[in-house]
Amino acid sequence: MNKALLVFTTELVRQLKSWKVLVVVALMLALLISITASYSVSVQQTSFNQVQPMAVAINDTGFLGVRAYVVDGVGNPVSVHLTVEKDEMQQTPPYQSTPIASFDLYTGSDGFGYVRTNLSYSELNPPSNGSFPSYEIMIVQRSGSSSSSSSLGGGFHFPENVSVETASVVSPSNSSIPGIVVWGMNQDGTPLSAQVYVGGVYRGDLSNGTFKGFYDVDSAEVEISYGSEANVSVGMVYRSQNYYSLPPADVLMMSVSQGFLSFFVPIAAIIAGYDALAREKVTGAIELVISRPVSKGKVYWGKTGGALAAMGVYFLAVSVIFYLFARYIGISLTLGDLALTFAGTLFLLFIFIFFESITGFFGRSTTAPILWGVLLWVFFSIVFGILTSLPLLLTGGAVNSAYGLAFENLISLCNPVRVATLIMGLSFFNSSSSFTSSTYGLTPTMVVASAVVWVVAVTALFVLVIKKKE
Amino acid sequence: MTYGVLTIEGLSKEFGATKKVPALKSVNLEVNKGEIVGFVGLNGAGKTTTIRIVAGVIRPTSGSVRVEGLDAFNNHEKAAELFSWVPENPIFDLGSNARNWLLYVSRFGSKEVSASQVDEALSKVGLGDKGRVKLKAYSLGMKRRLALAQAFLEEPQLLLMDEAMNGLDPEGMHFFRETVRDFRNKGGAVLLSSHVLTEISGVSDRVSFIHRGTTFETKTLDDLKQEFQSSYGASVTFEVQGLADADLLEIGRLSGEKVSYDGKALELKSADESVVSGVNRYLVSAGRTVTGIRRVDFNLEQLFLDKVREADRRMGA
Repeated sequence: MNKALLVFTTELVRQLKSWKVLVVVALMLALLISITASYSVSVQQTSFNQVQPMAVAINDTGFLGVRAYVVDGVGNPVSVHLTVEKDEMQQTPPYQSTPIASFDLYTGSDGFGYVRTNLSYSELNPPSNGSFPSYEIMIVQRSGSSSSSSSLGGGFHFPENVSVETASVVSPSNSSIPGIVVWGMNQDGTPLSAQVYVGGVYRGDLSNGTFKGFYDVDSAEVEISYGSEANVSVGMVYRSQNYYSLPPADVLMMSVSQGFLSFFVPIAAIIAGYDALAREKVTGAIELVISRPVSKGKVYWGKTGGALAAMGVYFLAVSVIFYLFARYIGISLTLGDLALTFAGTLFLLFIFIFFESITGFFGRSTTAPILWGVLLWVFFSIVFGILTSLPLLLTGGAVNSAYGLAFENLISLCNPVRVATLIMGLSFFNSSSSFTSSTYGLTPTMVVASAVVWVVAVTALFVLVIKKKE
Repeated sequence: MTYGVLTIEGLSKEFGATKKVPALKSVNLEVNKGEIVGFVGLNGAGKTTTIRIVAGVIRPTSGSVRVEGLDAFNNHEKAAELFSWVPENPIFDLGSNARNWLLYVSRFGSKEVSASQVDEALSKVGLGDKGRVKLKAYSLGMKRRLALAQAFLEEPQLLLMDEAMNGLDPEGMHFFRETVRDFRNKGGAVLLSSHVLTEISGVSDRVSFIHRGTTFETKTLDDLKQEFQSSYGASVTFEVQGLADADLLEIGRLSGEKVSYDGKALELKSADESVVSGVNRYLVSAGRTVTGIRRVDFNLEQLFLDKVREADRRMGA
């Protein structure tokens, strides 16, 4: 057998048998699943308490229609029949409601249904039998500053659309504004390209003519910047006051796993990298191996690669178990999500295992490589974010600008932990589910390119250290 | 060109990236089949550096090392199949046990080694019942025995032993000595570094002297003994206590030399039989109790120290 392959497989088997690594990975998996499960359960319980009719008062005559978004306890769209009723602003009981429209929501329609109404007051009555736990009602409201009815035209799902520069929406007294939706198209019917500001803060661009974001604010002024005349609708997402902000289930699941993995995978990588090469290098035990009929380079590469492969096997198992668990509790993650989660994890493992191996060439005590690894982990997981946001925070408004966000996101490509998170979330990149301010200025190509640069740079450093220190 | 099992030519090594510190200047050495070469030098002379270079652990600055004619640097994988290294301070993965460690390291060797062969190797070095004990619980002597077991796992042609007998108890020393002799007698070649010169002179066929990174002389043990005899002659030591000055005067007269006495041992530079028997007769007649008489034909330590002094003079120290 090729000697490099021999060292590689020997280290792979050794690491797979290592109880230390096994315990760490098992703990991570248990934590990941229990956190996700408990979060999911808590959301479910909260949501079931909210099955009640929600009344939304719209005082502005520009009220154009209603869209409803209904999800189950973990964010999956559900099929349900909803009725929108007219209420005549009765001041005294018994109150009378007149059904004015109804529509069906079904899973295939992403949970969205819509109805047009011109009423100033509306009540939406979901069935109160507890068959679905939570809902969002989206009121599409015309801008107060562009109230001229003559400007109404065709638009997204609605016959009336407004050409606006600024759409001001104010929370009704009994609700909050957790989010907004913007649709826009040019006069020729093509999707509008525009930047969206909410409350003066840049939130992102229209993607394929659509923007959706959730913000826990009481009122918002939505400013749409665009170059030419266009038709724009601004929708507000109303929720009952005790509503939990709940992204779609797959986004929720992925964001939990991304955050968890990107934070904790480096720890497992540091342990594996230390066990593979750094410890033997620092103590000198590696010398008895090197004196065997195998070249130093093959020993260094084989051991580091073997550790990476072993951790890859472990975390592939973690990803698969997590994927099966998600399906078990009713969240339909895709195989693509699984692949991207694993790819991001593998990238993170590569960076930290190779870095840990490099520290073995500089360490003078057995604890030094571990300390270096932990230092790097703390730096990229915590300190880096603080440092890079400082200039933006100090310059005030810059952080709210497109330029500020682009700068912050671009500089985050210098952080391998952040790059790993971006890789894991590539399937949600710039999608309607994504809260685009966190990825503004980035493209999937840039993320992949930065990952490649990181891998090449760490590999080059490893080669350089081997050459210089030996 | 023919090479010995180990041939070292013009080997030099400098440490340090900016400030170069020479550890080896010029090492030349040859170890042949069925031969034990003692490698003798003061601490820091360059013995360990030389052996670590041969083992492939560090690279030399210049020079060549050949094992059975194979370039040990550029063809380490082939050359290393022919030798085993017993380092001065064997360091193992302390989290492992002896058995697992040997199985692990043997995977990188040229031959497949089974668990039963590992057990056998451990038994041979007296660690048969300690195979599953964690290495962190091993004493220095046990570690040296384990290193020896590792060295013999794959039947090497050349054994590199770096101060391998330091710190061993008498039983351990005896075991190592016999093991090395046995290996030599079966045709193996041994480079044995030590500053315990009695050990070197006890087992070596040839001795190579190194001082300040330079090997300055290599001779057979017979040649060294001859040199010692011609330079110093043989000496005789009487183990006797309570000699008075008058005794020493009389013994000086009988031997014709100025004798040295430290209260326990009386040393005569002359080993002439008539002088020795004359002095013995005097001591008995004077009522002194002689508990032993030793004849010293060769003292490598004395010879080595003189050679080092001479080398220092030549090198201008």
